Amino acid sequence: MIFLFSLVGVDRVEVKGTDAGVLILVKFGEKLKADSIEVFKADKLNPKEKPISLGKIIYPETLLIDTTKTKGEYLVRVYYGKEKFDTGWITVKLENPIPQKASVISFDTSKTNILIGILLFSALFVFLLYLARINPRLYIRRIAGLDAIDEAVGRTAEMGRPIIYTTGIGSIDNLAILAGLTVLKHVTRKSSLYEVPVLMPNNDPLTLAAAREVVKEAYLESGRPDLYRENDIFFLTSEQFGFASGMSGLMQRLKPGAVFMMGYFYAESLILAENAHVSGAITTAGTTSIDQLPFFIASCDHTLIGDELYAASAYISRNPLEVASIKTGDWFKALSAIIISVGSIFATLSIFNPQFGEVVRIMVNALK
Amino acid sequence: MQRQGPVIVVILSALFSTITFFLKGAEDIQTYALIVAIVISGFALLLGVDSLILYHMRNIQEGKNTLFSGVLIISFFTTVIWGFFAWWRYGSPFAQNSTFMWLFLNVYLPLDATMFSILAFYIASAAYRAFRARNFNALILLITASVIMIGRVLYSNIVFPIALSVFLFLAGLWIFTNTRKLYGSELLFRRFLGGFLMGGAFVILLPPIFNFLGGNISALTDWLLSVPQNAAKRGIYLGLGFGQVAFALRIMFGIERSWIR
Repeated sequence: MIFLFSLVGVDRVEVKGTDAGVLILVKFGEKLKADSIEVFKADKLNPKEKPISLGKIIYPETLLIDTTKTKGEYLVRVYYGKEKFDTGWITVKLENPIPQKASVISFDTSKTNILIGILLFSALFVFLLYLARINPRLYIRRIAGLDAIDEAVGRTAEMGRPIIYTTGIGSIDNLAILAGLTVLKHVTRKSSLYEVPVLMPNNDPLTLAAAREVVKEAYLESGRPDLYRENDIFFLTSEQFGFASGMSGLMQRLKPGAVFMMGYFYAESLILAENAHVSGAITTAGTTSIDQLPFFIASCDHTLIGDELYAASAYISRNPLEVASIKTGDWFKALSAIIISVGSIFATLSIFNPQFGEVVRIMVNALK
Repeated sequence: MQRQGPVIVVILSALFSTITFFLKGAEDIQTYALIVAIVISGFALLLGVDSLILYHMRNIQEGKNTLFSGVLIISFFTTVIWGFFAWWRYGSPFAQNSTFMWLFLNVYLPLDATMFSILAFYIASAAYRAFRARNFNALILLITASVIMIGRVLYSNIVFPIALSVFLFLAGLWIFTNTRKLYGSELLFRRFLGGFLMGGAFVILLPPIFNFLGGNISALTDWLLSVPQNAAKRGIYLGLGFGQVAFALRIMFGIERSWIR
């Protein structure tokens, strides 16, 4: 297979697979000559591997051969003055490729620290589970946004309007969206007490299927399966701004009493929050997307910040098993704060005594 | 079993993903698992299309938002038919000379860009509400945000002293013209004169304040973004990380089941 290109300063670049390997043949321009040509190789199936430079071709050289015969894509970059031009990534089929060795599966030692961290976390979790069984009244601090759910549902019932609930953009493989579905169950249970309809436009079909099940289950648990209407949980669009536009239209037409935005959001977050505000609804938001948090804090009545969304189901249910997992996270946060503080103090002291700097270096290497 | 089946699948999948994460040479297995997930989500798209059409058909039947639902149904089928036609006629709906591409570039993209550009106005209205100095925290937010906004514009080192001078002058003017107790005069001209003098005094104090800040607003902006803002951000990141692990463990151990029926 041969690929031919013509770029500034180069009449012809030929990339072809041969028995010897991959050949990159260059014919420099007659009038305009490129300063140099660099060839890169990358394995696009393995994005963790960064592209490597195979070398440069400088006039009067015209040839570069990659004899490794390993899988990969090639990119030819032409340097002309201050400018550079790329051919784009090219997949070259080799005439007689070396058969790939069966990869040996082994433990990745570079991830030992992560494994230790997870094992410690799990051990502490099991210990706190045990504590929670003995004393089910484990303390969790107040989360104002979740306390406001009852108030928002009550107000909506008084106004005789529906609730609009969204988990944002993304599929069910996103933990924030799963956490959003757990809050949905609580909101639906509360709303069933006052017969307030919960409308949920969806951006993803998988989330739609899960949301329907969650809502159906919530109505069943509260003894009102008759309130479930499949059409209330519907698919809007998978396009980001189409979704924002559809949601805005719904809010403006229906004037909901409360809007809940619990899940994962991108640039559409502010469009949703502002439209909800303009429609006169009580707005409660929760997201793990740090870039969108300021928008929600600025424009919503209540906001769950970061991991508060993950804690929501435990906070609502007060199930000791779930509370134990929240406590584990809190203990680890405290531990991290101690390590960071000690590291900061030692790093500052290293100005006076370099030995403290050595301690900081050891700490950083251990955590890397 | 209807309830336990999915939970068992989730637990096994989670264990599989966790174990392969720690293994070297298991990348191909992970890739295949990812392909399976993509295939499943492809089938789920049919569910989405089904829901979309049924929802709007029912709206038309019930006479609710008939116009909007009608437009959606017509647009949906027009796009699908047009896409298939372009596929047959040009080899791909997204070929450069395809009429479907024309539809995409001249109808879809402008609509998408319009929604995105509306964001600018929403930012302004949200900023107005957020920056009202109702309490001390909001005042800090207002000052910090103003410094960063000015620090990010072109020629910020020239704009900042001018903006600060105008702000201080107006602040002085406002204090004197609105606070009778401070000046005690009913005459608007005298109150205005007092305000003018106080605003002027603020402006005279400006050069030492500006020098105290290092005389470089861009450096101050960078410091605000890289030190106090980053510290808060990293705190949230840490909490998120541990929160995610805790939530994932709850799902893996089957404790958290509210997402399933």
